Amino acid sequence: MPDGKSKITRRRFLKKMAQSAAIIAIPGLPPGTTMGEILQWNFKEMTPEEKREAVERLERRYREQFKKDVTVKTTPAREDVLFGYALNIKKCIGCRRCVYACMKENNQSRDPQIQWIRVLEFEDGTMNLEESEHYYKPEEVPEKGHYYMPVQCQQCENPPCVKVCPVQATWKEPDGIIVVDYNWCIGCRFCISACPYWARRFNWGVPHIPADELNTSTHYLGNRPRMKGVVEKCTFCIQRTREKGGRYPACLEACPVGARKFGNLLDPNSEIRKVIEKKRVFRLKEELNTEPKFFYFMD
Amino acid sequence: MKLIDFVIGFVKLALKGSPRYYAWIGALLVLMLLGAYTYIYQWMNGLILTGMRDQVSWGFYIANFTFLVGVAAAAVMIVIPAYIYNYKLFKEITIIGELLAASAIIMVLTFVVADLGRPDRFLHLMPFVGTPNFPRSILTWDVIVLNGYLILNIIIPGYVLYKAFNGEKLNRKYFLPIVFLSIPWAISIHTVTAFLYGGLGARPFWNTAVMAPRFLASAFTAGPALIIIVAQVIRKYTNFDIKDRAIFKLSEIVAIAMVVNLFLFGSEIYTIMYSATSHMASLKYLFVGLHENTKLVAWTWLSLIMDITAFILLLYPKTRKNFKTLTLACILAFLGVWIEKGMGLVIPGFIPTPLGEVWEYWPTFPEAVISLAVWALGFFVYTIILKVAISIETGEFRKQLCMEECETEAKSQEH
Amino acid sequence: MDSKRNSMITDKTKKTKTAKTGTMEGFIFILILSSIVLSLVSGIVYAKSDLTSGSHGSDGDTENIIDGKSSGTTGNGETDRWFDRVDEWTDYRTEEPIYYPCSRCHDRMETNTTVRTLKDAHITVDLKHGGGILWCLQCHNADDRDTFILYNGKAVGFDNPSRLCGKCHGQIYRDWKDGIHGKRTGSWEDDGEKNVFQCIKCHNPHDPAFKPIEPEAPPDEPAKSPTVGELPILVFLGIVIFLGLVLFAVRR
Repeated sequence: MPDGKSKITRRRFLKKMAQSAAIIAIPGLPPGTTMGEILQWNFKEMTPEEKREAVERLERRYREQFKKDVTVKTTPAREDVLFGYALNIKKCIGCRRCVYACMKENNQSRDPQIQWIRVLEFEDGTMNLEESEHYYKPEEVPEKGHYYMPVQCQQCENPPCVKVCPVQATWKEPDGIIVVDYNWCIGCRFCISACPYWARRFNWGVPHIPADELNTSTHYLGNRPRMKGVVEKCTFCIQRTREKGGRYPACLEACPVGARKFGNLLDPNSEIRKVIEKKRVFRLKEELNTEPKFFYFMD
Repeated sequence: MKLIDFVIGFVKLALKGSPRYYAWIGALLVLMLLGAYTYIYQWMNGLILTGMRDQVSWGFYIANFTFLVGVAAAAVMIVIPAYIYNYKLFKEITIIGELLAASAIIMVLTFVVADLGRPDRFLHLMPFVGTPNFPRSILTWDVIVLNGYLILNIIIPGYVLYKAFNGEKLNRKYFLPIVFLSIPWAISIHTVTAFLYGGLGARPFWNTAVMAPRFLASAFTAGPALIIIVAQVIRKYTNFDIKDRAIFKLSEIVAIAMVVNLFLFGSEIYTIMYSATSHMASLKYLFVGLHENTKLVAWTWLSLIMDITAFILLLYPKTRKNFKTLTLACILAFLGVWIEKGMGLVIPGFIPTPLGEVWEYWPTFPEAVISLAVWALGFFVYTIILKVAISIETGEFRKQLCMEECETEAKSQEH
Repeated sequence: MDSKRNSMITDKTKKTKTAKTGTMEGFIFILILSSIVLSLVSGIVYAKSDLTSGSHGSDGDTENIIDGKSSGTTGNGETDRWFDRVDEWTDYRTEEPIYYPCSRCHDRMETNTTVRTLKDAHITVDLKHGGGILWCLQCHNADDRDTFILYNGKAVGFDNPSRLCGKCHGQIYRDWKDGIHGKRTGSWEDDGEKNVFQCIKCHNPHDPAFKPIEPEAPPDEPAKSPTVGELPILVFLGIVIFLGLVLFAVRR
C-alpha cells in the first residue's frame, strides 16, 4: 500500500489539477470533458469532497451534452441492508417489459443497443442453457410448452468479476450491489470473460440516448450516462433502491404479472425473505460458488 | 559518459545501413503507418470497429497477444542450456533469443493497448497513480510479469552489448543472477497468461489445469521455430557465425516441444469428448462447427495438420537436417501454433456464451490492419536491435565508429 | 353436504305474491299447490346440483395463464391497459366508473337463486371462472348485493375483494398478503409506501385467466461495425508498396 506521505502529495497535486475546470477538447472523449474528470481518482477511495467535485463536473458535462438538468447522486449504502431479488419463473410470461423498462430507467444506449436483462425461453422439461432461445418473437407470449427466465446481474456475494478487475473499477458495495466506476474502468473486458451469467455489457461504440428519453435522476455508480469503452450492468436500480423510502427496481414495477420480488435479505419480514422461506428457490450455476443474491422460484 | 556514447552509437548504427535494410525497414513502416491511421478510427469510434461484441468480447487482438507471450517466453529455451548447462553452442545465440523476447513483449503490450476500451486510462494500472488489484487480479500479475520481463530482456542483452561495445568483460557477479532470474520469469509470463484463462470458472473450455502446460509446450515450439528462421536470415545477410549444430539442436527442441503440445491437446480432447458433458460444445465448434457456425473448422484442422506435419519433418534426421525441409517445418509449426493458441484458444471460450447463445466472431478489416501493423512493429524493433547487436558482436560496430572517429582524428592531425 | 348446496337451499326464497282470489278456499288451494310445486322444483334442483363436484380444475386458478382465446370482455390489444390502472373503482373492461351500490337495483328485485345463465341483465359478463362449477351467487351475496359472501355466511365488502378470492384460493391469498404473489409498486421497505395491487387489478373476477400478450421486440443482433471507406484502397496501396520494398530487399 502506498505510504501516507506520497498519497498526500499525490493527492494535493491531483487536487490542483482536478480543480482546473479547463475543458480538454481531446477528440474521442465526450465533449465537455475537463482535466479534472480525466485526473479524478477511483470512486471507492475518494474523499467526500472529491466525490462532490466529481458530481459537479459530471452534472455540468451532462447539462451541456443533453441540454437537460441531470442530478448525479452518490447516496451510500444503508446500514443493515443487503438486497436480494427473486423471480417467479412459473409466472413469467416472457413479455420483455422488464427489459425495456430497465433500458429507459437506466439510460442504456439505444444505438448500439445495450440491454442489461436477457430473457431466455426454454421448452418445458429442460433448463439446458444451450437449448435456450434468446431471440424468440412469437405473436403472443407465453408460447405453449415453453417457459421463460430473465437473467441479469446476479449481484453475487462471491463475484468473479470483482476478483479479476485489474484496476478495482468494480467492487461489492456494503448493501451487496456490485457496482462499476465508469470513470475508472479501462475497458479490458476481463470481467465480461469472468462472469458466468453473461450479465455485463460493454460500450463498444459511443453510446446514444435521445435526450428526450433520458432519465435525469441518476446515481454515480448506477444509471448516469456512460461513455465508450467502459463496462456496465444491472445495479438493482441503485438510484431508486437506496433512496429514502427505497423504491423497487424498474424491472419489478414493469412486470405485468408480478413475477419479480425484491427487498432486504437482512429483514426477516421482507417479501424476499418470505419467498426464500416459503417457496422452493434455486440459483443459477450454484456449483460455481458465486453465491448470487438473485433467486429463482416457482409456486 | 560511456553509457551515453553507447546509446548514441546505437542510434547511429540503427540509422545507417544497406539499401536492403532501408527497404525492409521502410516496408515495415508502411504497415505501421497504416495501422496508426486505422487505430485513430478505432479510438474515435470505439471497439465497435472490430468484430467483437458482448457475446465474444475478446478476439483477434487477444489471440495474437496470447500467442506472442509464448514466443517471448521461448528465449528461455536457449538461455537454460547456455547458462545452466554451460552449453557453449547456445551461448553465442542467446542474444538472438533475448532480443526476440524483447520485441515479442513489445508486440504483446501493444496488442493489449490496442484491445483496451480506454487505453487513455492505463495509468490506473500502475501503483501510486492508480489502484492495481494486486494480488487478487491475475491480470495485474500479468502486467507486472510482462513489464518485468521486458525490462529483463532489455537489461541483459543491453548489458552484454554495452560491455562488448567497450571491449570489456562482463561482471558475472551481478550479471549471472539476473540471467538466472530471467529463467523462472520467462516461465512465469506464460504461466500467468495461462492462468488468466484457466482461473475462470465461467468458461469451462478454459477452466482446466492443462492450460499452463499447453501454453508452455506451444511456446517452446513456436519460439525456437522462429529463431531457427531468423538464424538462417542472419547467416545469409551478416557475418555473424551460427553453427549448423546450434540450429539442429534448436530443431530438436522444437520437435520435442511439438509432440508434448500435441499430446496435451490430445489429452484435452479425450477428457472433453469422453465425458461428453455440455462443455464439449466449444470443442465441437472448433472441429465440426456449432449450429451451422463453421468459420473456424477449416482453420482448426489445418493447424492440426500443420502441427503433425511439422513434427514428422522434425522427427526424422533426414528432413530435420535438410535446411529446406527444416525451414518448412518451422514455418508450419509457427503458423500451426499461431492458429491453435491464437484464435483456436480464445474464440471457443466464448462460444457458446455462458447463457448458451451461439454467436460467431470474425475479425473485421480494420482489426486485421491494426494487428498486421503491430506485427510489423515487432519485426521493426527486432530488426533494428538485432542489426545493432550483431554489428557489435562481430566487431563491425566499433570498426564503423572507429572509421568515423579515426577520420576526424586524422583530419585534426593534419591541421 | 356441500356448503354451496346448503346456501342455495337455505337462502330465503321470496314467496311469490299471492293473487287475489274470490274465496278463502281458493286461496288455501293455491297456497297448497304452490308449496307442492315449490317442493318439487327444489327437489329437482337439489338433485341436479349433485351432479359433478369434481376437481376445481386449473382454469380458476391464476397459475396457468393460458386458457383459450379472449372472450372479448377484456383486453382489446392495448397491452398496457391492465397494468397501468389507477387505484379507483373502475370497470376494468371499459375504464368507466362502476355504478354501485348494486343494491340500488337489487333491493327492488326478487332474489332468484336458481342456477342459470342470465339473459335479462349482466349479459356482458361471460363467466369463465371455475370451469363450470360456479355461478353468480357463489361470490355475490344473494342477501346483500353490495357485498360478497364467504362460506360461513360472513359478508365481504367491495373494498376488500381479495378476501373473497381467498375463499377458494387460500394459498394464493396468503402468498398475496406476504407479497409473494401479485404485483406491488412503491417501496421495498416493510413500512414503506406500497401500492399493493388488488387481485382484480390483474384478474377479471369473471374471467381471471391471463390472456397471452404481444411480447416486446427481441434484442437486436449485435451491431454491425461501421465501415472505414477509404481503408481498403489505402491498405491495397500499402501492401503494394510493402511488397515492392520487400522484393527489393530480398533481391538485392
